Amino acid sequence: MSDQKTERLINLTLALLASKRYLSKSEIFNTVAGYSGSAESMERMFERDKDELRNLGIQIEVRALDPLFEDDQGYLIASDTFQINSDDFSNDDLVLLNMAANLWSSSELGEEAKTALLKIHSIAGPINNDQIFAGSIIDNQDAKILTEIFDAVDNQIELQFRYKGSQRQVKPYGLFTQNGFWYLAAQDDEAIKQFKLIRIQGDFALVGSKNSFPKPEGFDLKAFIETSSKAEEVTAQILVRKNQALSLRNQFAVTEIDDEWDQMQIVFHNQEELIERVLWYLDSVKVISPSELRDEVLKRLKAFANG
Amino acid sequence: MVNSASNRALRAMDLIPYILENPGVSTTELAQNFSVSVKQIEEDLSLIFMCGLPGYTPYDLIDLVFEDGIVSVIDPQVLSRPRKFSKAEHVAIVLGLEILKSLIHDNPEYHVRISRVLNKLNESMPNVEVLMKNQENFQYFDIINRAIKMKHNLKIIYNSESKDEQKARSIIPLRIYLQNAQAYLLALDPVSSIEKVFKISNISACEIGDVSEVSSRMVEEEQIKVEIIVDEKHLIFLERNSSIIVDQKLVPEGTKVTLKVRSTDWIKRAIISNAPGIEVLSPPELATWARETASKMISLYA
Repeated sequence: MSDQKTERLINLTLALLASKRYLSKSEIFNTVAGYSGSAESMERMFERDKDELRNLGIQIEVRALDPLFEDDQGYLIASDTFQINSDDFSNDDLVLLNMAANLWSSSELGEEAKTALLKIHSIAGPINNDQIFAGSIIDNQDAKILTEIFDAVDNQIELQFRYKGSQRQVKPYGLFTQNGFWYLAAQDDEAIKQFKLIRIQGDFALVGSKNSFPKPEGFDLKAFIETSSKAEEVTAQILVRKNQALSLRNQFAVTEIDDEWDQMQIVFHNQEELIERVLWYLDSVKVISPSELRDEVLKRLKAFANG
Repeated sequence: MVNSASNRALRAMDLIPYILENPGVSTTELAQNFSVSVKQIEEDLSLIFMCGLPGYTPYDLIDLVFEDGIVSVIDPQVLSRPRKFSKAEHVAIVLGLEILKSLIHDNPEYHVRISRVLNKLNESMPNVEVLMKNQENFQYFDIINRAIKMKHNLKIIYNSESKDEQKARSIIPLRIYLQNAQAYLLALDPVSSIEKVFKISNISACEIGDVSEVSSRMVEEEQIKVEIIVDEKHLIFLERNSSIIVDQKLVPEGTKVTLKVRSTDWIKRAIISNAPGIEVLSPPELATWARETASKMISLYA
């Protein structure tokens, strides 16, 4: 039974893909192998097949065959929605696609990368190029739930999870990665917020059915990322011991002060990052200004020493 | 993959263009590449024999040659090209290209080529809501990659952040990997035969050296066990270093963590730079060092 159904699904796809015009149901039932029985049962069979192919991501176009009789519909699969146009990619392009997919080979996106590679190798055969890069991406813990969260974003299914100690039910709009961590952009009550996937506590659940909410028309993920993580740059004057804090010296210009110290103006994306870097160099770096930053560094050191 | 009729139909339709472009491929290779058994591939190929275009004469059916475990496609009918990338595949490729762009930052020719491919892909599949933000750019990827392929040593000048020193070294490069958006080079120290990890952004000069003489003797570097408590404001420390955490549990003060570290230089600086968010439980000499260092740093401001 399963063989027959698989065969019918392939034959239906091939017939709809090969046809230059929309095929009516009766043409399909009369010509595509696998449709048999009463008109009603063939009708049911066709509807189920159509749904299954659509669930697999195959776009079946539907159009009224006669503008006066809208019930009489025709079906077609446009090849440009089903197949990769091999002419779109040069051999150089294929080398890059191969390298890009290979990066994920040992990550949670490995399965997607593997199927993508099969398609890349189905365009013009094996990729033989000495530039092929054998590097790989090592995931963080958050990548384990990535594909399921992506499904929720793609299919507009609400998500339920525990975050920062409270239960949330959100409408997922997009995913982004920053500094190696994955973030979800989602509507939580009235606001669109970002959630760091690694901080989702315990299990999460997809709630409800596909397309259960519309994405706001004006939502732009790129603009959301820019505004939500915008922080004022922080500048500080610091003293650096001679021949120490080499990474900072590579990044910022120094002014000689005396035999022991040089002065440097450093700029970081935010205060936390700056304090972390300053403390990293132990007693080789000292903050001069701004005074609030100097006080904060001192406060943290005192709290630690007295801990 | 669930072996439902529809997924099997998809796999069968993916097999045709793949075999067409890889004539003479074996069923064993197909089974490996399509993540199913050889028996399943053989059943799929037998099924494909029966499929084709309406009419279903020998000229309308998909034609395959399948002998002694070797397969070739004679007539693919309309399945000469692979299916479009799915959204998830598209995401993997696009993000991979963005990462490559950052890795090959110092090669403008590659940069232009990658941007061109990205444009083509994004035009073919708009509205995919997955983005990469501010990927850092790296240098020397090209040289390192060539040295790995040629099996040559690399001569580098490396700025060690944990030792705060700059040193010229000759290493045997093994592989490049990316973690937490940083590119790293795993390499072998030819003198000690110990594997070392180098952050590529800390390499300040790099050139290809002589042919590598890889020793078969690989020495395991000694690791030090460190127990700490990290408060909830410093979760990022745990997230960034998850690969070296061997145990962790919640305690009233935060998260009690056991780490295995290769460098005491690194853990010492990491503790101070996260002050006062990390409390050292063991080894006791590390706890003493940390408190004394903090006191010394306070005296700088006196």
